[in-house]
Amino acid sequence: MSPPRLSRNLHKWLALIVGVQAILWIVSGFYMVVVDLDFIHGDTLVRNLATPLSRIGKWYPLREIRLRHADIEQIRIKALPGFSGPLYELRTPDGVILADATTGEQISPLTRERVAALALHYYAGKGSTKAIDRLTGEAPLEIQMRALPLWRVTFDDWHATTLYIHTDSGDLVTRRHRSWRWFDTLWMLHIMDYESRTDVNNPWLRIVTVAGLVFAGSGIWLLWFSLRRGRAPRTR
Amino acid sequence: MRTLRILHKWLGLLVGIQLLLWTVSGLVFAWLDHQDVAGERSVRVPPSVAIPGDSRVLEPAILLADYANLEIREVTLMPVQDIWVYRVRLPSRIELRRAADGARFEIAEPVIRDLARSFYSGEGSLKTVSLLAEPTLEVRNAGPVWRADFDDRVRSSLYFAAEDGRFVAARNDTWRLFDFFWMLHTMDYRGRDNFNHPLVILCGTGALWLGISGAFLLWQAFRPVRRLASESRSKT
Repeated sequence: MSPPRLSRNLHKWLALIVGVQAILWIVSGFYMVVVDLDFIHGDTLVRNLATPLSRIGKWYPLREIRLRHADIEQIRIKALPGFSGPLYELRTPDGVILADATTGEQISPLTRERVAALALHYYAGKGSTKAIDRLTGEAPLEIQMRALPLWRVTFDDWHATTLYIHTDSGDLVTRRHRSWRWFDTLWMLHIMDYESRTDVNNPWLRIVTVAGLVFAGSGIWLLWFSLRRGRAPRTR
Repeated sequence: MRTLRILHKWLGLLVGIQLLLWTVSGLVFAWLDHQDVAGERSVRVPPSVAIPGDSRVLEPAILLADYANLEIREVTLMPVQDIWVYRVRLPSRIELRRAADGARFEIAEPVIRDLARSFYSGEGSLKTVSLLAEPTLEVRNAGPVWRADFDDRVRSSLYFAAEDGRFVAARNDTWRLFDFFWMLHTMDYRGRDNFNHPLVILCGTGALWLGISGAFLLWQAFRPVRRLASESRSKT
């Protein structure tokens, strides 16, 4: 078989074998480049993530807090939107403890009402709260490796915004929405890991990328003949 | 069909090389072990330590009096190796203060050497430590950083923030190879991480039309009806 004919045949038959995946790569890649990544990360759907500390006249002594809890590995003094004063957040081997820095009163684990109020402070959209669930046991795939328990607050807006809030610290752990979920599904198709959606070294991807490379290479090879002769010979 | 063929050919000429680069880089991502790329085999998180019950810690009210007119985002009591410090996060910078007496605390080279050894779990040993004041692409311009180089096979480097000594990133030659191809994949030849810029969108659009026209051509080439028709034509 002459080289031009071989290149055309190779390109045609490889198209038949890896064509569907090539289209999936192009379409998923196209979505990733045209939809702004900051939007995918949900930056525009949330606010109040860096609330500054407010000034208070009286602090509950840290000394007293330290007497109450053993094995403190870290203490954060932070603010949460909607809370009147600063908070003490203690990290211990048993988990996170949140306390009011003015009164010393422990507020963790957060009540459902507090989480609902926090979620509205974090939420920058125009919808209203649809559901609040405390997740334990098995984590939904969309929050990946993050540890449970977490509060999941869903909103009734077009984006189907979902905020995940830590049960003790009140921090916004992550946020998900329609376009993120699309991105994630297309990412799954892009890397061909249909289970965990994270393994870029899976055998399917490895094999098909090799075929894809020969496919693209044969296309350029064919193009070279095609441009040199005006029009490459047809296979039939 | 002739038009489709011409469209496919000229789009191939315009985006063919980039398509080949996308496939080659994709192939590299699939075949380079992701754990090697992330340096997971040479980094460990040192175990947390609890603050001794009898150690002296300045009360927050006294510490914060020094920042009376400044906005404070957050204060964290945490250890830097064996010294407990307050990490004060202001809108544009971070300050470290010794927890015992509130004195300013600067991260110096010996601290970084200790930190680097405690985070490293590879087979090499620490070679050099250097302070990089200028933005460094290898850590995506994360601000002034300390770089600790190890003499292992993959030339591992651990990066720590100059302002508070926090672990920033682990890099090695596998990562560096990955990152070069990542640049080719995102077509962001400066910052390497932005894949929402006009050039990549333009090439993505070209690839999309190349894929669509290719799919039609493939359908035409393998369509059973046409094959029968052309066979009967050749008989007459």
